[in-house]
Amino acid sequence: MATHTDFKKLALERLKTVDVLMSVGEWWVAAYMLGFVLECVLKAGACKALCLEIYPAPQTTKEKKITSYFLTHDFDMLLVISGASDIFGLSGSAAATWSGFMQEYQESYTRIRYDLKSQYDEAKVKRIYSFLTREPDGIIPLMENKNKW
Amino acid sequence: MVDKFKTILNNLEAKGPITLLALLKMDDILDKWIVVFCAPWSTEQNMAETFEFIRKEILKTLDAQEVSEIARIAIYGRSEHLIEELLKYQSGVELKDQKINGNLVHSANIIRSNPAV
Repeated sequence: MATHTDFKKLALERLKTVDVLMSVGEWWVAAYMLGFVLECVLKAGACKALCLEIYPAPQTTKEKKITSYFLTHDFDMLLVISGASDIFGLSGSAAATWSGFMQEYQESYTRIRYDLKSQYDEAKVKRIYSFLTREPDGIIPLMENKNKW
Repeated sequence: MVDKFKTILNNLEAKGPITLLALLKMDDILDKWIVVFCAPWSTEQNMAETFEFIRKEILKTLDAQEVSEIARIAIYGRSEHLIEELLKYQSGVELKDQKINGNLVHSANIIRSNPAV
């Protein structure tokens, strides 16, 4: 499984992929990839918050509680272990950013892969992208500025 | 929680009529609520302001434990499919393990449902 540095690198690299996808109007795949970027951001955050050298992998644990917390695509669960609930929880200063991003994913982002008909248009994807990247209150800038990932 | 959301509803309705206010639990692991909101006076342009208005009412009314049981607030327009689906139910209805908008909703409380608005 990946390390903190791997997740951070993956997030930033895939964000570049999103830029390419958006430039050619691939809104559906861009929405999927934006979900993946957030997953990497939160997993990098978890590595940092919990001082994990390597993120837990399926083959390294049989404990179901560990599995459900770490080996998941669930953003709310990953937020808990990322140590960023104080920022993005309802009482946090950036609750609006988190809610804004999340409301565009009514189901797990991984299920988008199997959608035959895209629910994501240009406006929606640009909104998601903005909640993730905009300065100063996007998810990535806040994780960076608060030294959370 | 539901009773307190009726108080929150009253305070929110002071601003204008509300199409939908509902509490949904959709998460498989965390037992947290999503507050779903729709009102004709809530637009894309004033979404941040609306979010803050709702959030303040929630923080004012619920205690810290109850606040921690809420994952987020989702503000949608009337044309959103999830809103259309939830408006099929009347105010006060409580749902368990229903498939709504293609997703399994473990628990739902429809605090206000007003399709006419």
